[in-house]
Amino acid sequence: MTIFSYILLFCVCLLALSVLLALYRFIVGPSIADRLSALDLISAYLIGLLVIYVMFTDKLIFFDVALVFSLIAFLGAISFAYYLVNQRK
Amino acid sequence: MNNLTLIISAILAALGSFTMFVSAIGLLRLPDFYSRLSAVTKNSTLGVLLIIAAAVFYFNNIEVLLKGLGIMFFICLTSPTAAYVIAKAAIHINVPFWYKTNLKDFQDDRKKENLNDNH
Repeated sequence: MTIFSYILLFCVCLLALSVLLALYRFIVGPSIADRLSALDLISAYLIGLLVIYVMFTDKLIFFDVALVFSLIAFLGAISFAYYLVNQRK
Repeated sequence: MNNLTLIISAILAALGSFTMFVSAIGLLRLPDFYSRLSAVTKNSTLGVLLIIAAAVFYFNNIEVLLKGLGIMFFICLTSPTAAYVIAKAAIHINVPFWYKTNLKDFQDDRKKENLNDNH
């Protein structure tokens, strides 16, 4: 392994630790809007992890996965916000 | 592939993942929902942009450049929009503010909106 691979491994460890911290907020969050923002943050972390995985293994197909996943995550956040607005009438 | 692109790519990837770690600490430590939301959206957008710039420098390839520009464009377009919609929904369902928040302008705007609705 070269020095660059070690730096990428350090980045992956940092992102995994961040996902764990966001999961803590996702579990104990006082309101449902907190859980929604934690979900949005975890989707951003997954995009970062996908791009670093592409740099590890040179499988360029996962760039397309990251491109589509950014749009899907936006759709999920919008639909959950729609549910929050319309849940009690 | 020379050494300079590797150095630039390593610096950008480390900066990006550090920025995303800072946003996780902000999500964990800030006092109320609205400050947590501001910490989440701005920092995570910047972190994703830095990591994608690191990948573009690493591969040095026109295909990766175009796809990376696409991801950057969609992230810059969708992440602030999602934050705006989530904050609007949270105000709608009355998520409580922090007790030190200065709410004077917000309540004045609420009064004006109610007056306009009554007319």
